[in-house]
Amino acid sequence: MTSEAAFADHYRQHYRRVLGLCRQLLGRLQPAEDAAQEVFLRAYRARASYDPARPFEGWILTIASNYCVDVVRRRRKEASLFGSESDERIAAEADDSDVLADVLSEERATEVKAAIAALPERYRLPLVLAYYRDASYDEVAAALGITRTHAGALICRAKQALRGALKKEPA
Amino acid sequence: MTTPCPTPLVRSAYVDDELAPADAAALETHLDSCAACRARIAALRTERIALRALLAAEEPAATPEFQRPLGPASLALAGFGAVAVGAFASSVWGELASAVPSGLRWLNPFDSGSLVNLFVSALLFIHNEGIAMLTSIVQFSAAAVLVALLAYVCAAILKPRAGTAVLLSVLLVVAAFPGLSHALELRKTEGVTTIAAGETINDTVLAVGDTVSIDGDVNGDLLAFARLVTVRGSVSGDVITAAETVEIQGKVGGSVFGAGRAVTLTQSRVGRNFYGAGSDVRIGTGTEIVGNAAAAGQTVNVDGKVGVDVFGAGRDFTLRGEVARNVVAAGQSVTLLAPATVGGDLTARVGDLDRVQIAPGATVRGNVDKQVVEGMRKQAAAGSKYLTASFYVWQLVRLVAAFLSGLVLLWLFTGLQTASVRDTGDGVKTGLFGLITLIALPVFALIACFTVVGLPLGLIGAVVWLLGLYFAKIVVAQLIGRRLFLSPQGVPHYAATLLAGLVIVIVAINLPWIGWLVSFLLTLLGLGMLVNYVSERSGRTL
Repeated sequence: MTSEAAFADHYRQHYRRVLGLCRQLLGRLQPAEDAAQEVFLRAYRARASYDPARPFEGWILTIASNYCVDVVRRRRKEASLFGSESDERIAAEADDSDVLADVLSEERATEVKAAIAALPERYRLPLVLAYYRDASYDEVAAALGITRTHAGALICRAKQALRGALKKEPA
Repeated sequence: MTTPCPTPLVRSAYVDDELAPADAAALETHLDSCAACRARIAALRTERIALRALLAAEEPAATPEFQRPLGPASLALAGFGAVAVGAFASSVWGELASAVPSGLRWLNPFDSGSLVNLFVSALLFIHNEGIAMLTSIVQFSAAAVLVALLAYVCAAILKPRAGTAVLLSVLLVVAAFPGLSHALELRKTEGVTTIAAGETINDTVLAVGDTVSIDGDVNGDLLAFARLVTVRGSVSGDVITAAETVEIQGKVGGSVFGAGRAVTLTQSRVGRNFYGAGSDVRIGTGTEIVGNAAAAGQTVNVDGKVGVDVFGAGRDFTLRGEVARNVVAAGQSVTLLAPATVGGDLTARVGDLDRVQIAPGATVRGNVDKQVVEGMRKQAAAGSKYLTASFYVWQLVRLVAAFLSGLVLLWLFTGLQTASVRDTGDGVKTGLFGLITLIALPVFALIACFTVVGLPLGLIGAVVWLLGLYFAKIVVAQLIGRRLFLSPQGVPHYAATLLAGLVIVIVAINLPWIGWLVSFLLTLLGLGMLVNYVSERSGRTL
């Protein structure tokens, strides 16, 4: 249970974090702002079910990821949004691209963010869930409704695709 | 080198600390003996740290105010605000309306009664005999939608070259329609469109122009849309026409559906029924209608002969002609002048009993039933309409129809299931978009009818506009339903939210006094949301 005033505090404190997750998951800012408002609205209505013993951030980020995954799922009606597990694993094994740690420097942050936003949804969602929310492969798999190995393959593919995209762009 | 180098997948899981302990141990043993893999893993770890730091960096956006869901007090305030805004808007609308040249007034969909009249005549039409005609209209619309879909597919395929795609789809639409019109004789000119006396066309005729004159014979249906439509020849099928002025002086084998500022029948013969809607509907002397006549307008005059019943609704209803059976007339005044003859009963629904006048020389063979209906006065029909069973039946039918079409809509366009407005400002903005669409689309459609690109685009525009008007409230209903059921566990199936929202919307738009305003505002909001949705979608695909 949390009071109105406490909720307002939580909102001010966590809004940007939630917006960030929505932004990364949905790929664009405007729908992300809508989504963040919707997420807090849902949280506000369900504030009675929040257990103050647990961190608020984890609770609100769970609502946010569920909501955004739902939005993406609805946007793309195809049953297999995340492709097949075996295909993704084979593709992941085949790609042995170089690690591009240097391009991840702060100077190229905007460029990298754009590249993440441009990733296909099936790679962007697991990558963002795992790295933004710090979720385990199991948590990612549960959020997306896929198996753990499938989630691992998609995260690996996401990084490979990101390297590919950044390599092509002029430095 | 005892073990093979790990695959990319295994390396990725390892740096994410997600490898099973046994596998991780095996990999670490391999790393001890393989410098290349050691370097690679180190680089992967750096990459992971950089990526996480980058993703964790906060959005520069400012934190907006949290919009709490509306409580009862704010709802009441919003209601009061809506009434105030409505009063203001209606006065502004009045000013605007008076600025429109009188020749174009009939175009105004909010003109008192004309929309209602159109709706009533459409209902009567479908109810009485429209099935066959409706089928052909549906087929025609379906063809239009099909072509639009094809155009969309084209556009989607040519994604990177949006300009080319748009051009191609326009060409495709235009090219496709002459093919479709094999079943139609299509006549369209800037000025006068004529089927000359002596000319015979064995087909359905679709005539569009400033003036349409049919002096010859049409063996089929006639669809005419123009400023002035005159039929002096003969039409074997139905005549469906909308114009500022409709004049029918010839022979029509089927029914006549006429909408316009003035709809006049003189010295003509209608083989089946007549449905007229306009500010002035006149069934003139020498006219014979074999079936029923239904007329809605400011003034309704029946001077001719009607074979069955007459239904008249308008401010002033005047009968001078001959009706074989019953007359049902609703209006502020109902007048029978000599030598009017009614074979059956006369039912007059008026605001004031004194306004029913039967002049000496006029005959009613059956009973005369005068009913006072409050709604015929300036005040809304609120008192009476809520007490009739048919009102509730109709609202139920409306709910079911809206629910079914809403389900199809949301199933086809899943994005609409979650369409929403962020806050009051966004709502107002969306509503303004809706207002612009409401006004601009029919204007463009009409202009398109008279330009090179032509009629097909105009028709598609009109169809899209009508569909938009219908679906607007459904979209808003879904929004309301979702707001109602929000919980972190997610929302229930969209069918549930849609139904709940529709019930609320239908109750709201039937509220006495402000129902029309609610309906109008919801339509604006819904149209705006549809426009937003379409622009967002096309923003992604084109």
